[in-house]
Amino acid sequence: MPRLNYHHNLCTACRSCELACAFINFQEFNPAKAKIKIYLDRSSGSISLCTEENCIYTPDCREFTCTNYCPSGALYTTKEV
Amino acid sequence: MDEQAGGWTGKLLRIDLTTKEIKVESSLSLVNHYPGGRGLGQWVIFNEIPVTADPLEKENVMVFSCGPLTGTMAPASCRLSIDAKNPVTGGMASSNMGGHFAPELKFAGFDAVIVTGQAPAPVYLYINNGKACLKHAENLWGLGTRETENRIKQELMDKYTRIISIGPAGENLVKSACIIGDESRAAGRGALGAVMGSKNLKALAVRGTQGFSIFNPGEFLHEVNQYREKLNRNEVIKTLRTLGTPATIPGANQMCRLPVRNFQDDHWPEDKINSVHPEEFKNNYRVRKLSCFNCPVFCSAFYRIKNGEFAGLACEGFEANLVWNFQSRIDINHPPAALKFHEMCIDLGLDIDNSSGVIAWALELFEKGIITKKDTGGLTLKWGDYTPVMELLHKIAYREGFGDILARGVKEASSLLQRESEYFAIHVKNQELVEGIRSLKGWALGTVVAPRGGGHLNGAITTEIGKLSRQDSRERFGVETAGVPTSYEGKPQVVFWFEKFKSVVDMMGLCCFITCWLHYELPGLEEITRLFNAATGKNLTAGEIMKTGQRIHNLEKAFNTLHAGFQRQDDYPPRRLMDEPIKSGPFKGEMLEQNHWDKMLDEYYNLHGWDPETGLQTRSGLEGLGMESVLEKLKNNRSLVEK
Repeated sequence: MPRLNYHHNLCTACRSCELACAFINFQEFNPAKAKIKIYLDRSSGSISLCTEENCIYTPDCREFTCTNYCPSGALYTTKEV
Repeated sequence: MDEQAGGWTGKLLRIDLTTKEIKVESSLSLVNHYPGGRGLGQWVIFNEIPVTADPLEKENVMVFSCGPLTGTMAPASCRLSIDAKNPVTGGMASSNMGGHFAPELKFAGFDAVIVTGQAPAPVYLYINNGKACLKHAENLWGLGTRETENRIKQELMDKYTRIISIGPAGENLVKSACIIGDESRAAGRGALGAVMGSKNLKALAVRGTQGFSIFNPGEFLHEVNQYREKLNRNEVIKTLRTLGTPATIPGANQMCRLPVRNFQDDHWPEDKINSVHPEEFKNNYRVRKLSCFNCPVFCSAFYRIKNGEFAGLACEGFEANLVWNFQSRIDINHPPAALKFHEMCIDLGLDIDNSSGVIAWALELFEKGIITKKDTGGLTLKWGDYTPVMELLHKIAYREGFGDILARGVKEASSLLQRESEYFAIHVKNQELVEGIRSLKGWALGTVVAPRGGGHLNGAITTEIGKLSRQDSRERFGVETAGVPTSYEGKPQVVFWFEKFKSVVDMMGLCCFITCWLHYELPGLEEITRLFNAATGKNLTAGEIMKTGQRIHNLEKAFNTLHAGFQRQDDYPPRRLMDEPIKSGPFKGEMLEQNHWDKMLDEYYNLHGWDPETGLQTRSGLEGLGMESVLEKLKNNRSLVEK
């Protein structure tokens, strides 16, 4: 089973992952439905990411669609040992 | 699925601030005519603003609009177009910003927001999933844009709310006031912040969790993937990802595009340019890269200053124009000061280009003895000295003392001051010019004829900077010289193409940086057409879409004719750029020559089907575009040439 990983310092808070996640799973553009969420704190420049625990189990998303649409390489998958 | 709803939400909000009436209307008749963004905005203001309207009174109408691709997975689908009558030029204004506001507006269920009237007391507009209300903003009035955003988020108890707002400059109706979004993005030119201020509208806040769908998801995704692959292969995109638009600064100096000391020269000495090199900012102040919504280019960044005079500064920014304008234009080469200027402009809600323009004018007047400390309230103004410039910036935003003169913009300020200061007021159609244009003749033409006045984001051509080969130039534009900077030959044809194409990009809700507007090897019209058709279910050709782009440009031209009376004489560069050659650098000796400019204008007007003698639109030109209602208005105003 692959595992989702995150290079914090590469993330640009573009939210392409949110958009792609919602589109692949629900066929609509609606980041609110995404199982991944990005937040940029504009006073400090820090970015936080959270995912729903079951995000890999949706039928259309076994290969982490979000990583394919992450332009900066912040999101990536590794095989779980 | 309703064919017409794909890509659009199908609804728009109409707010009358005077009566506080809020209506939800269908957007479909509008978007079928002008699909969105700048096109939709210009069509609304053309039809709804009376010719006699004062831009800073209640008759002005503001349109905040998305495009059909805004909020979709199309790359850089983040742009919000803001259109209104322009307090600086008296003609049209259109400025678009990135960030996250526009996609959120679509997710909240709206393609556009139309604001009319004038609120009796400060308010902000809150939009949430298909509904909207006006909220009191007396407690926000006077605050900077960053604090305004924070307070609104606290009040709404929702950190995911997206906000655009004005600072003190907009409230005080300053002619260089802009609108700021996400504490970093700006709808800069055209004093749109002052228009919001005149309406007592402090901010717009939006939250949307409804989402929207498109006509053909499979085909759309295929097009998105192809587009992204092309972006990934492009070298210019790779550079922007690394350094952002500041990457262009050394090259811009080599091309003599910097407005050094109020356009006394267009080239800066190497030691100065090296001290503001993009690597300096990256290595010493950059914390991380950032981006607009869904943008694979991520040209933005977060900066922090740890030591020295400006220690503690932390904010997102900046674009290359900061270095052109708040460094070379006032001859300061100090990166921390540049970042401080940026932060000040963000918080005060001041446009970097316009505010630096009027300040550089004041510095030159002081240098020449035309003004003294008596005029400036005791300030000694000197090239390279940033402390008094920061003080001036503050005075402009609050209209204090000499700042009240500068707050009027360089054209009005010089008319007021006189003392032969007009020659040093570098403006086009009353608005400050952004950058040096003497070396690149096509870039110059596109900048000077731009309807919003003195800006390169209409028809300025990037093929000169990219040095397009003669063969590619012939294939794309039918002329050989698109890539030859100093040639006047063939440039009108290239500008004509860029004007139409840029209108298309702005209409779709995309950022021009992911298109061949930026670099000729990037995707362009064909790709955008396929994305548009897959999203909306339409079946338009690239040619038809370009024709809509041409209509938008003609709408803006007609608005300028009716409201500002602009004609051929308003399409000339500032006198200084035609009298004084560039003093140093690779293009030393270049200037814009009158006889060549006359010829370029003749060709340019003919391509548009406009009258070369007056610069006005003609019956045949507008009939060819199917713009009969525009034609009638011009005719009734006696501004149509019957041929």
